[in-house]
Amino acid sequence: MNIDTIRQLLASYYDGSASDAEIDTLKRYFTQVSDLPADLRVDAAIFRAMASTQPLPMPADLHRRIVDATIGSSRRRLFVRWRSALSAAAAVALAIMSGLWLLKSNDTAQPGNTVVASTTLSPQIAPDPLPAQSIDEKPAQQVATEPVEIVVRTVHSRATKAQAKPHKRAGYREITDSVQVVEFTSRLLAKLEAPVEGAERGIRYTSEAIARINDPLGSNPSED
Amino acid sequence: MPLYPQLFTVATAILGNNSDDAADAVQDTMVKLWNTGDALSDIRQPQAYAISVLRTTVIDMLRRRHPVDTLDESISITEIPASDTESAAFLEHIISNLPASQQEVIKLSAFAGMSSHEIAQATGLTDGNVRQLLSRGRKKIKELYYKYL
Repeated sequence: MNIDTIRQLLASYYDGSASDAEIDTLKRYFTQVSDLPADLRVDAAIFRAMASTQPLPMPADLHRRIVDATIGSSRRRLFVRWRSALSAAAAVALAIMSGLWLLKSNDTAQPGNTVVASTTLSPQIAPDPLPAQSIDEKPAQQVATEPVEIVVRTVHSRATKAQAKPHKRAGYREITDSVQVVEFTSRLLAKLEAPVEGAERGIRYTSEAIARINDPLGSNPSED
Repeated sequence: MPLYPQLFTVATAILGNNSDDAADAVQDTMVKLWNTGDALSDIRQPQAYAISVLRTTVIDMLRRRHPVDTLDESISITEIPASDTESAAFLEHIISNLPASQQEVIKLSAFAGMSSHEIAQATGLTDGNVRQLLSRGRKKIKELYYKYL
């Protein structure tokens, strides 16, 4: 390479405008050529020093460290959140199941003894001053037509110890037959559903009224 | 994750012959980039952005370890070992006596192989500023070399 070309490249280098390719050319020239003019010896030392720079070896565990600090850290945080959520859900489920188990264990209802109005733990335990009704004495039709006062109360004692407390209000009747229980339950549900049906009718009427307001003449083209 | 090898090269260029410090700086930089999240996809030149984050990380690291000494243009070299003037260690020693602004730019150019435009993107300087710092730093290096040759 022409020495004048080298001097021009050096001028660009010290001006700060030399490109990467031009700097590489200077490095190759000064590392390959030993017989140099005196004014280029300092430049040769500088470029030989730059060319001798060896890149440091990257630590072998750097990739793993970076993964642990980034992706691994996010996965650990997500795992902790999921574990906490699952633990909380398990605790809630256990509490619910425990409550249901306790509730079920206190309820010693047996077929034929389940009632809506009150609970009787045992047919033998009936210290009730009011006469108990059985299915043989009361036909189902009469039961259906009689007004029933629904009273709900809960007995918390076990079957061997509990005694049903008599209800003192007028019209109270203790039911011991499962068929009557079902019938009373359906009547109760019917009473509860009546207001719901009324609400649905009201909503339907309101929707029809809104439609009439928005389109009082109707959208039937045959009427035009 | 192919960016971190280049970041390691830049980190060693700035920090000198210290592999552990460079690795720590690269790891911290990658964590910062990771925590950027979805915003990283909006960056047009992620490589230059990563280098700028690395640079900031290295500066913070150096400040925590050494107090900041502002060097003016008139430097004085107390003592330079009489080692081979054509060695990289000697060149690094010379560069370490430059003003901080020139040091960084010279190191990124000489040891990290970055172009003037890449240095400008990483440092936030303009191309003209980078060119000016390179010019002053290279001329100062040549002056110091004359004293020992």
